[in-house]
Amino acid sequence: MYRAPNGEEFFIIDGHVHLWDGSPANQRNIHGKQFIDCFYDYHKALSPQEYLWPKDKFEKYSPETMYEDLFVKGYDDMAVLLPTYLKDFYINGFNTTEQDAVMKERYPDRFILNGAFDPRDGERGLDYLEELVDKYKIKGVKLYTAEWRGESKGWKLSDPWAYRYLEKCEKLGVKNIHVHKGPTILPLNRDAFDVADIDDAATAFPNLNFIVEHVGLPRLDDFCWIAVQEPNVYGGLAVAMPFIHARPRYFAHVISELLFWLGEDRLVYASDYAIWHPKWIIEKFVAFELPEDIRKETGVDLTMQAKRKILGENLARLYGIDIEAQKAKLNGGHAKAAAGAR
Amino acid sequence: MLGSKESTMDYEAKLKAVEEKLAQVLDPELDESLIELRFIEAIKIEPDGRVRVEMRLPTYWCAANFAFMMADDIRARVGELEWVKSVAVELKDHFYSDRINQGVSEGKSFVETFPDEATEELEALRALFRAKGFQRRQHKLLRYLLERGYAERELSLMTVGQLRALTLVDDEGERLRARYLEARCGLKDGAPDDSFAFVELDCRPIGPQRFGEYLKRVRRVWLNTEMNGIFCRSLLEARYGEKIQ
Repeated sequence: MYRAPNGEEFFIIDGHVHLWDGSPANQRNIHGKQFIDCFYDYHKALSPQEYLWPKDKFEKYSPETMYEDLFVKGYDDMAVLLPTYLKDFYINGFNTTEQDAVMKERYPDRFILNGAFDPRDGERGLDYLEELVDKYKIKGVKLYTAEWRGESKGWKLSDPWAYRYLEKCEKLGVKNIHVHKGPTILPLNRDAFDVADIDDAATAFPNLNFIVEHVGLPRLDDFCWIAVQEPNVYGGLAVAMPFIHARPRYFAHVISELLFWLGEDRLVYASDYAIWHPKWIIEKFVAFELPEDIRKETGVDLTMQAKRKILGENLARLYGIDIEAQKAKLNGGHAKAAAGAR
Repeated sequence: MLGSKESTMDYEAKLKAVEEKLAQVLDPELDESLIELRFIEAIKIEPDGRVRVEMRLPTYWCAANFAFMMADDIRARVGELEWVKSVAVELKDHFYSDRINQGVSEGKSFVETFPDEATEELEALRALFRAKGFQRRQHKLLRYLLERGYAERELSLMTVGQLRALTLVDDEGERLRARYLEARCGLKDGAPDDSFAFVELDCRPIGPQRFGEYLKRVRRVWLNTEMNGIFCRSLLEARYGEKIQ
């Protein structure tokens, strides 16, 4: 819960968090080292100075650290765990559903646990998806289309096998499809970040929600274009949000553009923890006001109502969370913990 | 050193010539030159005319197709200099460094370099991003003019001749106009000065009625390119920060 200086309260659901192991001991090869190094550069490039972590902490942090950062120091009330397997780069995987499940088991009211699938797993993967649903009751998956698999350097949502998985998701009640576009899909002569396959899948599966992570960056322009036409496409604000600190004017442009094309009901806040810390992002976002000239240019505004939706209400709707009931549950938890401590 | 002053100057002149060529090589996604982006790490020139250009990118994962385009353009542009005998490009710290460096240095095409991963050459991708680059330049210039009090309608009706004749108060304006006109269709073939200054990529007129809508459409492209530029610069600095200083 975040209480703004003016007394307004916000229930906050963080749409994109990780518990990863990128430590040298888990790195399978140079790509594993380069992957976590690249994440660390993102962290360094856009974080305020006082939030910078040393490299070794960034490579591997504990569940306790994560809980503390998100819910004690940060203002998140709940968070969506999005796995990124990367088994070709990391011996035990970078961030699997099983790793994330540790958090869910310890703090069941705090986390929404998501699974993942890779259509290149064929029939076996369909069974795995069913297992994930049975075991963890997942309602969403994170897809990373640029994941390497031996000779293959990625896949598309419009592939026939991807359709079979999406059909299965629909059947199993896995409604929220989080998609991260990465840079190495084939064929190599096409634009690797092309979001056209999301357009295709969103049309074919109108009952599923497609949350495009990083609002399609580096293809924000194309993302806005498809999102206008597909009412079941959402924008996840990870990566866009931290610009609020380093480049606030560009952040104002980006959020205005998104409000203009998608509207306030289809944008969701995300920290991308541990790349960025939720505390400063939330403080700055709630305090943020669009500059007058940009407001005039686009004709949209970032109102308190829009902020409330982006920070929590939109994700609550997607994941079927009753905010008032959840608040009571979490407060009960605090009361119990306090009573136990006495 | 016994090296004569003349040969030292010769080296400087050669270096300058190579740098001028590299200033013409653009990152296709960002529509900015590799020199401005600080992607060129070193230039080495041998007395016999062999040139070696070392290049770095903001991440290990930057798309291989764009990396290849830039490396190949370096080879092509620098190779235009008469005294250059061969051009080797060394892309560093990238997941396809070896293949790109070898392919480009041997003068192979993209498909020859990536026979299993590529189904065609990069022309379609180049054209797509040339179009985005054009729209970004156009929008930047239009923003500049709108901010200085020109009205949308006035801009929609402005001719090439009028745009050329505008008195722009600062270097930024001059630069934005020059960059836009460089990318605008038809001007190299001597398009008449009374044609509309602001047209679509293929020279179709936009017209005053559609101008506002058109502006909104290209604003997305402008913003995306600006964001990518900021992001790439920040990541390059985070990645090579110590080395830059």
